Amino acid sequence: MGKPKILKLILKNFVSKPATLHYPLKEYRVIKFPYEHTLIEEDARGRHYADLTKCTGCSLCKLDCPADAIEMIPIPEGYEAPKINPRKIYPVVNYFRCVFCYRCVTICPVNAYITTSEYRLASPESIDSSQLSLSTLKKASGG
Amino acid sequence: MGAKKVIEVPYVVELPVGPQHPALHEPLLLKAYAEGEEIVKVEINTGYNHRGIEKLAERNNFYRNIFICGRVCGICNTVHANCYTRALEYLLGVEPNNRAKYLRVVAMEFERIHSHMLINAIMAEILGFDSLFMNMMLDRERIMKAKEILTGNRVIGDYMMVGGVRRDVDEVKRDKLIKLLKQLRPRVEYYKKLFIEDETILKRLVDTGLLSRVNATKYSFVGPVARGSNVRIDVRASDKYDAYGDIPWNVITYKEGDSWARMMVRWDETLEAIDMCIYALEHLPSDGNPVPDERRLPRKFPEGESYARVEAQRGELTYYVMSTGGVNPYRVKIRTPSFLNVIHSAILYPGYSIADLPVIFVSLDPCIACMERVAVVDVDEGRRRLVRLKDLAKGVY
Amino acid sequence: MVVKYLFLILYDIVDRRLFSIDRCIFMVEQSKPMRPPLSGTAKIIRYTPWLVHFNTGACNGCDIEVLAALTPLYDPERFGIKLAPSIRHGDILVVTGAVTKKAGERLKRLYEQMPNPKFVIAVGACAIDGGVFHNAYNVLAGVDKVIPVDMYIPGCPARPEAILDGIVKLLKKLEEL
Repeated sequence: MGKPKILKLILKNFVSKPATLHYPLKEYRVIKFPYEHTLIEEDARGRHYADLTKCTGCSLCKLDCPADAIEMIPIPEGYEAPKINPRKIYPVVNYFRCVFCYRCVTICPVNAYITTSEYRLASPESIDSSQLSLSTLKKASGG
Repeated sequence: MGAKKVIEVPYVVELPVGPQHPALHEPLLLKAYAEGEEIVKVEINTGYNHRGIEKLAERNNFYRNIFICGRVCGICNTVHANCYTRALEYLLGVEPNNRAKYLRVVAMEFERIHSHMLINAIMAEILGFDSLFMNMMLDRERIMKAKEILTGNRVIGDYMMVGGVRRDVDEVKRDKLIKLLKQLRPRVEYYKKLFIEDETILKRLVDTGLLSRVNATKYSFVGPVARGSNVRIDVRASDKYDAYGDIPWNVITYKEGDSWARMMVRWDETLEAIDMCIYALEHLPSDGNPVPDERRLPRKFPEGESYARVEAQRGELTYYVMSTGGVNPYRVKIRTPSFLNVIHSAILYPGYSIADLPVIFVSLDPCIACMERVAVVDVDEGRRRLVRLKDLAKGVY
Repeated sequence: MVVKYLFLILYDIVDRRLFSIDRCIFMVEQSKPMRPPLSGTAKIIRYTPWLVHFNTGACNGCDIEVLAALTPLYDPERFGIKLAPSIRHGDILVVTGAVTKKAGERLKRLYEQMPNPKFVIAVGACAIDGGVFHNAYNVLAGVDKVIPVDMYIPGCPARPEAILDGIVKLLKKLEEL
């Protein structure tokens, strides 16, 4: 019975540093372990939301989304809508159905989408982008 | 009166390798009929993965279909999107510039590298050789990082658009990509040497699932399965689409025809792909912007039909698109390579033992998600019937 | 006698004309299983959960990411996670893929075969809501139309880090029981 040719590789791995990225150990256990965040690229496709100071409410992103994940919702009371948005509607991305193809980002005529590389979106309830979009607007004065 | 003759009637046991199985990654029902330890017949029952993509493509417009057709199969998604996009470009009469063509070739070859390393790692896992499986997957993470740098996502690229690609590559990214590829090459050579010399792998892979050259052409196998049986067909050499005419490369064939030859074809193609990518990235032409402005592309397409084919990792993939003027296509037809390879594979099993069944199955590289579209339209009565693959496969063996 | 023959003929007609796909819908829409009540001892799972993976008609993108989450770079064995060999040994069912009608019947059967306490995680945009295929004719969009789900992980496909993040969030939720 011969020894496998992979024995040298196994011995080399035995004595060298572990190859694992220790994500998300720090939040789960109380051990103070130097953990590394995985090195994700800055322009990887992650969570995106609309910047309402530029959005004109044209609905092109809703028409061209392949998964029908965008809904146009009227801007609620208490926020002042900018003048370029006559119909006072804004897009809300449902992250549970979005496939992150970024068709909405590239087809917007005024480049109104802010892109990040956030990917930790697991949750037991449905999440969408309404709070993030509304945080770009100023609240209406008076009331 | 003693017994004069003893007649043994063997009984045949049916073993279902069911839709949920820790070794299978896709839902498929393989019923193997085994007499003792030897396989007599195999029936393939698919239908768990049929999503109705061709009907769905008639309801969405041409640009939404690029993303839908990219999700037919996750392992070969760039080649599906590329074939559909080239069919649209032949319809419109648009040609992308040279830089976009080179970038498309780089994206498709990255996908070829990652898919071939994945199927070889799965073969090692099925043999029981777990340390080799884990080591290969660790090295495969380098090519996934390269795909993320180029396209923005690890698996599903969404990189193709009518008239070019969706992202450009600058100097910093190009150097990172070349460095990653040069680190990967000696590891792939080491694994190829291991497949040639290691005794465990040789004892289980050599002489299982013999496919002779006559059978490979008679039952029209495509891809590395045919190239492992000394049939020299490759769409990249016949059609020379997209910059394959400018980059130097070779077609790989092996003459043994068993499972070992099929896996060796895949290792050699991986080495060729790494060399092709390094050449393409070093000689990138700079004649203009490869990213078209998506807002100015035409929404209505002219009337006509077009046909395009591409060499996916598993064989030859063809798309047919027909439009009657308007925003949605009238018909999109997809014919995938796994459709041919898996249906006719029932001839390879009889005569081998049960332990050889997963080895033969994995060496064909089945991608069940690609192959599920059979619909029979009864023209006389106008009814639509879905034919199970079991009924079609029965006629072969 | 005549009644028996009539019954056989009727069964034959029904068996050939009625497509098995429609019979599957009938069985799947009959009853969605209830979520089992969790006792306090259920939280002992959080030290070593065993996963069972089922693909209900996906494009394989999420499956290779689930397979990549079991490899040394992400190393789930630090949490005690391993792929269980059979459904009767499993604790957490990881489902990917837009649920086709034929596979939905198998999924319900699998859920009933798992022993208590059991949890379900839906990975990928197709498993949560149908994703790109939510309009297709052969797809019941979403796993939560067939079995109750405890955690959703969006993305197309979900990265292995995001899958591990989702499993860790589910295990942390168990600590508060």
